[in-house]
Amino acid sequence: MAVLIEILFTGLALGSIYGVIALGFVLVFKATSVFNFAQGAFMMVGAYLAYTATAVLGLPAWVAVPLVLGVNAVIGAALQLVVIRHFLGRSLLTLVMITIAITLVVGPLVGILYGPNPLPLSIGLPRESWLLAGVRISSIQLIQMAVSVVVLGAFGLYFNRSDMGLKMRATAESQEAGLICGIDANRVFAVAWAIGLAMAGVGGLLLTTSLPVSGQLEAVGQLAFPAVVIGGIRSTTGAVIGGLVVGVIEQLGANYIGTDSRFVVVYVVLLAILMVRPHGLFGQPEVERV
Amino acid sequence: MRAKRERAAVRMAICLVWVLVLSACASGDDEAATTGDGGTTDATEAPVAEESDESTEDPAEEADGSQESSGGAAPGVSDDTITWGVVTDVSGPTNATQVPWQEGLQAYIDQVNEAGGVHGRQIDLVVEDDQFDVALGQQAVERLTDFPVFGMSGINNSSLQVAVADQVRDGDIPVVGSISTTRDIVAPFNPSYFASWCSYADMADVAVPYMAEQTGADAPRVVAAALDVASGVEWTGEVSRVVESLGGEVLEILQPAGAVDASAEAREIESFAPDFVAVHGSAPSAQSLLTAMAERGLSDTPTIGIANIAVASIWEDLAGIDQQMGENFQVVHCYTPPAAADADTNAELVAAAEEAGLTTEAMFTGGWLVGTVVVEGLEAAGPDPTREAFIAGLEGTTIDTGGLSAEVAYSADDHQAFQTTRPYRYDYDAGQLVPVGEFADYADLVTDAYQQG
Repeated sequence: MAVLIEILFTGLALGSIYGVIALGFVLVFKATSVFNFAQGAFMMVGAYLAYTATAVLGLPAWVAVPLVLGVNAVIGAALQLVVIRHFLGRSLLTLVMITIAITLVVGPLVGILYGPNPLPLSIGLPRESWLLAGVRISSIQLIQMAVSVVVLGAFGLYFNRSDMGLKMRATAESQEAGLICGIDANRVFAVAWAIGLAMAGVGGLLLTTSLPVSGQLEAVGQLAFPAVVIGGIRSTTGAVIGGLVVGVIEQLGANYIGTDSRFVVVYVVLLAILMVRPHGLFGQPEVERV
Repeated sequence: MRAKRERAAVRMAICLVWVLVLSACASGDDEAATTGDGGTTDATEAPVAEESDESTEDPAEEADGSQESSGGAAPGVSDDTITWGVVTDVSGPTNATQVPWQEGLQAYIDQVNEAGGVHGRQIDLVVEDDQFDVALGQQAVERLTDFPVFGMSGINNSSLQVAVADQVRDGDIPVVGSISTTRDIVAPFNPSYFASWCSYADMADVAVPYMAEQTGADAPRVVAAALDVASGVEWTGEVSRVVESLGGEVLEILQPAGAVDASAEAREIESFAPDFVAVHGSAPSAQSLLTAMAERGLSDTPTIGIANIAVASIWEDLAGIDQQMGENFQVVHCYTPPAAADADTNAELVAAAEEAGLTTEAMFTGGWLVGTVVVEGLEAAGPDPTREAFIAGLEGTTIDTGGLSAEVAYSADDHQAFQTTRPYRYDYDAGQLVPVGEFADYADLVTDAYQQG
């Protein structure tokens, strides 16, 4: 039983990282209908920026972390205003290709700036583990979950209680109706991109608790996509729950079936869920008027 | 409309995720490793030539003019130039190890060119980026063959190496050096290929007995942990072979490429209670595993890794997690990082590495040594070099690398060198890898498993 609890705990910690990354992804899609394949790339950018802030500039973590998230947010807003804005309303494929193109630019650019070698990153997080009633819990897992809860909570408050959050929800519901009500859609989209990429930065920082800063973070970040699909591509709640589901399933598969089967199990569950609920666990089926 | 868009997005996401997982699996495969500097027939001897020549990006651009052979000269040889091809990952997921290798090779060739070249000819390196893509790599090999180049180096990714093994074996273009040595490229005997890297069999031959001795386990219990890719399976197989020869027991664990968390693997290691762990993978996968082990309280478990993961960032990150884990983590390597090389004997290498900012990169040494072998072959081939003369020349060559690797000796029936590895531990005070003993101390452990079948 203790082993099962430990596995579930590990899965929830891992899933909370997936949830944060997925939430940023869903937010951008929900607000702008852009399927942002560059989310993983900006997660990687966040990690490299953190390396720059701490190892190169020597900033303390309490300055570096907000700075990194801020820079990622600015990049997000700038991307929307400078690039994405011109392509809104185009086909999904066009927008997808744009974000893939951004990924293809960002990856090599980071490689040129930082070189090919993995880089160490330490933001001074405490590294302890405790054995409680046979269950091993680490401080990093607790931090991962705590950070995720805080980020998700802050997002929930902002999204549901703030004026901009209301505008974002309205625009997500209907851009035309939003425009009629005087909502500046471009501003809303820019904020959505800023928050989305800040979330990617949080995800990148959380991943560096067990991985070095390297180009491979980009691919790891894309593994949050199953969380998005399972939760429902337009559901912020679904993204979080989807992340937790993926984390737990991955850990159960790795521990009870085999370490090499963890992703297989995730995709089997993903397919099963899609067969029963094509819009994901929290997605709403939409009726089309023909 | 929105629903359609959503369905399309979901389909795309699923497709992309599969593609990413598959490509992650591929990318985890054999990050080529490194090597050392040094080279020269005798490390104390200065490079032969002296004129540098920058590498060319596009063979087609150079095709006219410069590559025309003077009457009856060998392919890739003109009056003043010998063109040598390089197929490597300039970009892509494994370029972290291959770029330093390429820079080491270029640095050595530059020195030779600056010193006048070989028999009055400059060596022109033509570099093709395969981007860790087998198809692109095959095209690059064909392009360089048609160009033509006199010979080639690189083909560093094991999957590419397997794909072109028959082509290399059947062709007449000499290939010197990869930072990967697959069974397919060397067995059965390949007359055109000169290996310059320790295979997984070679690494296991040294790593397992060394760790058994260190831990005092005559019949060791060993966890062979590997990335779930072809080379990882090869590693676990080779570790099992050696452990079983010692009467020990092995638990094989495969770690999926792209996994963030390795706590399940750490749990298995804890349950098995091994004498030591033998790790294969990329730097991120190895770090993930070592981090999970440290968090499970397994920092005192001795661990040894393949040469490909001799990346300083692993130890530096472990220092912030549990330095004991880093102190108990060693690697085997067939090259000596410039920083650990004898600076007097290898002054040119050390200076070049310092200039490139790659003093801790054993891969830089590897590229340098491959350059040494290439130049040695060209010198032996004489003033009117032919590919046949190059191969014959190398087959009689012995190179003292000044401690940068084991002595290099190719013969007519053995084209494998650099097979002897030695362990390295990380010195946190010096911030670099330090060797444990000399290469010669471990030479008897190498069984030449690929040739033995």
